[in-house]
Amino acid sequence: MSVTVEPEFLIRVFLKLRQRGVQLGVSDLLAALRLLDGDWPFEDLAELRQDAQRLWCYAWEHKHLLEEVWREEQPSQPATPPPPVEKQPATFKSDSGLRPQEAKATPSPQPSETPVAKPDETIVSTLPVRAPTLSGGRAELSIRWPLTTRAMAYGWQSLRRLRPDGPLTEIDFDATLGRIARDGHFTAPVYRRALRHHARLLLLIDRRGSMTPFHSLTNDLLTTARQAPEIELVEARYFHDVVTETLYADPLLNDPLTLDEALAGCGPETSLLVISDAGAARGRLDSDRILATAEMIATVRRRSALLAWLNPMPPYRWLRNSAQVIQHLAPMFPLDQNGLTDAVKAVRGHHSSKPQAGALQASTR
Amino acid sequence: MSTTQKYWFHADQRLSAEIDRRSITDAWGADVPATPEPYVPAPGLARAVNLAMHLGRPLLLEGEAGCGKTRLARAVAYELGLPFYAWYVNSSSRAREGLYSFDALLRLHDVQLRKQSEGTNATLPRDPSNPQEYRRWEALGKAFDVAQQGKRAVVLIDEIDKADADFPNDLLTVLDDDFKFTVPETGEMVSARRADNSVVKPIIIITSNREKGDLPEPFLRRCLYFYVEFPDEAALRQIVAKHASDPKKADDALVAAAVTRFIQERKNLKLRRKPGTSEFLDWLKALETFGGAEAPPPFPADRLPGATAMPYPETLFKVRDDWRPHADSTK
Repeated sequence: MSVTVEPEFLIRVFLKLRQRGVQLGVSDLLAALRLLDGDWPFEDLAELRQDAQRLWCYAWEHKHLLEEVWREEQPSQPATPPPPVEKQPATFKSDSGLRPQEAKATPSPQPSETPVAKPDETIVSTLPVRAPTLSGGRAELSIRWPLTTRAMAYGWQSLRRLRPDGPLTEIDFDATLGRIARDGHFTAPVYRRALRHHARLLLLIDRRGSMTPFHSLTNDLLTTARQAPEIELVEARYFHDVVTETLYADPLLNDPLTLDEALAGCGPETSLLVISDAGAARGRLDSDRILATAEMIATVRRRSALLAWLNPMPPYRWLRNSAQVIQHLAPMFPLDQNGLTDAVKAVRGHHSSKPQAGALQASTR
Repeated sequence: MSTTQKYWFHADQRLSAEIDRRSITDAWGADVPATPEPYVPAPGLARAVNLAMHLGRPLLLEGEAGCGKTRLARAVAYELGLPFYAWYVNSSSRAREGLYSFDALLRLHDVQLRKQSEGTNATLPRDPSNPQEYRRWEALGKAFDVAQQGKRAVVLIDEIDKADADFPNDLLTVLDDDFKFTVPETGEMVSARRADNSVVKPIIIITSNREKGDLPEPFLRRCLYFYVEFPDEAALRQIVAKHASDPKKADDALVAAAVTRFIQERKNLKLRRKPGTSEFLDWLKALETFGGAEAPPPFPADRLPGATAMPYPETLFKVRDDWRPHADSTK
């Protein structure tokens, strides 16, 4: 081992990771500190960082987080400056002002100071209309959604509805013993049916306009739902702003369906999730939108009462616009980790913690 | 500490030659892989394995299909001369199935048999009053058993994401710091902790598919995490060299052309299912040794590069849309 590492350094990194939402426990810190005991060989800090990555980063997204925190906490050393190409994408993040003090404290070259390379400027000047390009460096493509795909997949798991209607494959020992007691001898085992998943999910997804920034997020939601083994059938219907007479079968809104057609597969046990900002993104109070939404909710509730609304805008943006009214028409949850859990709970057929409209409670029983 | 220091995985088959396999006379000796497992680990993977052994934590491998997640466990077991137990998880797997199985039906049957044979002097194969006769250790149970004898075992839990949502959580209680479980049917308590209070933790390697990613966070937290990237051109060549039955006979020009073409083909974003390493090796074998009278093997290396159709597409492409562009133009 050629370097010595202070335990405090790892503790600081650990605490910062926890602050940024990586769920780690004390045992994980102790495990990392064991690496400093002297039994575990590492050549330099970079190698130790990789080990910490294996230990602490359990999702693809955390990897970048640890690298960032490690850089911030790393004791200053005359390290060779990293290649500028690698650094360029980081400029995007540090510009958002996440690290105001550290940037000055550490002597390591901070990417925010590096100017944009000259060749790029000339290209931009020759083309009058052009979005800034990332092609020069490796773009930072890590997902920074309010919820990761892992969290989505985990959220869908609680939607499960198991019913014993699979093949007759499981031996029912209690019943077998009961039969022996009754008959006085053992004839054959008693079988019971295997449990199978029966959850059905219909997603009504708002597209375009104010929802455009969330297209990728809603796509991820749909993909994870389709992959979840707990859900037997996932359907998606699309609309723009408000569900009127027509919905669409495709995300590009080309293939129209009437409301009846769109809801054809929807029975009383189908869970329905509407994903829309309900006017919260633009912040208008639009009475037409509210009325149309109320009508849609009433129509849908006739088929299934298991309805909830996922709003990608945070709750403080629901005030004083259409969303504030619509959240009283249907249980509305923010589209983050807790919101998704609550929404799934609401459409699973159990009562959510919030009191719902009478109609909902009556039919979920 | 001594138990953890004893093992060090180098991903080098030659090292395993130092282990005299005939000297392993314990009961678990038969579980040590006897045939070599050619394996080229991704950069950093060997270190991750050693870290897992050092800390006694399970190693979770994620990555696309066909990049060698499953084979690692056997390669580790072979190189270190340790018993190897695999547990292939399926959609109906329960955590208990990896620990032990209990054949209650057979016991019931034996009870009936004894009733009927009362008075005769027939001997029964098993004694139904002893529940342990009907309990069989499964992968993890066997590993704990070996641990009791002071030896580490390698356990592979393959495709953990296939199982139900509760599965990893149930497993968690076993893989926690204590490494122990009880068998309610027989009242046995099985633990990796030995009589002298030392814990010999099995080396547990878990694989999962990247796409789903629905493993619970507490479970992930207990594991070391490694994402296995698909091998690059240099690594693929190494893999070919390791798998070659006779390195002298290998046609270097053909291998080089095949590797380049394969990597190029994998970059095709339209592919619905990307071929993995084992498919590549099959394809290479077809190129080297397969052919009819009009086109005797090997396939000419100079016909591989470029945008022409791939020969033997059926070894690589398993989705119709991927396969068709190569199949049509060969006619």
